[in-house]
Amino acid sequence: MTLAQHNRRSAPRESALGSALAQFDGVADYLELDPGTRAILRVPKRELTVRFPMKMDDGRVEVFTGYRVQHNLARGPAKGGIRFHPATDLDEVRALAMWMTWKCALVNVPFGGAKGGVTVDPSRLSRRELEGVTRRFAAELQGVIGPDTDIPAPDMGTNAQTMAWMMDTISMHAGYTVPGVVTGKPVVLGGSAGRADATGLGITMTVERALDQLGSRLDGARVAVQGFGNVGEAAARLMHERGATIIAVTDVYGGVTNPRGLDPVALKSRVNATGSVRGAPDTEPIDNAALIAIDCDVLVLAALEGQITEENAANVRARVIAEGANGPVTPDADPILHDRGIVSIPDILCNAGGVVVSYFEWVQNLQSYSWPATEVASRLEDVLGRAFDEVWDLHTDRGIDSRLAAHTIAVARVAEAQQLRGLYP
Amino acid sequence: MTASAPDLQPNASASGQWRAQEHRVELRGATYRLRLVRFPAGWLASVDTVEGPTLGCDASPYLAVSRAVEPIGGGLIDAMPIVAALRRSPQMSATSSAVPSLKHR
Repeated sequence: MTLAQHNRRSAPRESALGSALAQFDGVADYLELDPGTRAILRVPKRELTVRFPMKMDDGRVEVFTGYRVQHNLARGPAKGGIRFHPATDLDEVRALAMWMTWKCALVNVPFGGAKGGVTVDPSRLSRRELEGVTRRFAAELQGVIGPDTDIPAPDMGTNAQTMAWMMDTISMHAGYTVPGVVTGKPVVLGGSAGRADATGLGITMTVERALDQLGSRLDGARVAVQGFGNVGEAAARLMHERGATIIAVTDVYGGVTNPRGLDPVALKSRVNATGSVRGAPDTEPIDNAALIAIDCDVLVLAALEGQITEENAANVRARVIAEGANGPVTPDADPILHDRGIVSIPDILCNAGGVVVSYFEWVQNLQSYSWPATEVASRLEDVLGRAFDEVWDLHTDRGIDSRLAAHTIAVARVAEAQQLRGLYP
Repeated sequence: MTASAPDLQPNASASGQWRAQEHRVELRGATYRLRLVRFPAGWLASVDTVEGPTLGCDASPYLAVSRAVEPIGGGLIDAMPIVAALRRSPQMSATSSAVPSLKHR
């Protein structure tokens, strides 16, 4: 049984929101949720759209549009990133907020789901303009975000510096420093040790668990990595440190392969120098289609959504697919992979390391106490290990597709919390 | 470790009103009797304990079983494999032999 088989609903599938709703409807059907709970969980609790003017470096006044959507707060304050991207719109933010609700529930951190964004291409802004957009957007979110209500984090086009500006803006309005209002901050401003590598470390940990369940080990495994940004680079480096052989890496400009192994640290240096892994010494070129079809133990998908589809799923030769990106395997590809015995670690589990360490950062900020990196990694292993085991048990013991197992656990947890809280008034 | 019993109301499906099933489940080394009753509007789950029967009701069998096992230290994750096993049998038939145990946590 796969999630795709439960997703034969009427919502349009082309958009992220259509996919999120179809996915939810399928799981709600499977869980037999009552109509009231289903109606509550299907829509965001709160949506904010703001438009704000900015004076640009050339003297023009430009008006930007930003969003913040809180999908569900039944399990705790809202949590989710803020992205700066030219294609960001309200429907995309709604979908991402819903997925954050499920992700937080699956790993059992006490957060609801949220997402936000500004429709802007940050690469076209000067540093002054970028800071201005960030601070003005943060000011517009005053009263909506806060340590007890909604805690943003970095996402596409934003980073630790963005979070520092947001924290400072909220703190200026409050009159005192409010470190817990955002996570993903620089460590000197209350960021958590280990936050930068958290998603890559989470991928590595879940892959280790999956290989262990298959009677194999990461030490000696052959790994191919699609995407060499923050997530893909960290995953490649951490797996390499644990004995894996990285046999292929691709980025947006090209890719490299060497069956004897690549050095992720050297590749990162090359990216810093040239912008791409392409042309690295002692490598052969490889494209994305060849990388997906490469004979390997683990295929890490840390780039874009929709990379493995009904058309190319039959080409995959990996034993384990690690979904480091959001939605890299389409619903139509799931049953093909499942039938071929390929294990997919679903995205809401595989890339949850970031939100788990964000939770740790928030806890440390509330306690005004910081944990060493070893403690962060140890606690992350506990949280992700428990979540992995719960999904794996349901997946293997009952023959349920791992994605359906993950979403079933997540949605059921939120539904249970929603019902226990009841309706007000 | 586990066992199943036939429908408590063999003709229930013919009437279309309700259907009861009985299972043995195990949690932290103790074995309990779990009854599941399906009504048109949802599910009722009950576990026999020394203090008396527990009760969980919901449209979702997962949430009904979750509530029924909560007093004996269980929860949603324990309910998942029980109900998932039942889902594999046609029409959630009580004649399914694939009755799981609650895992130790």
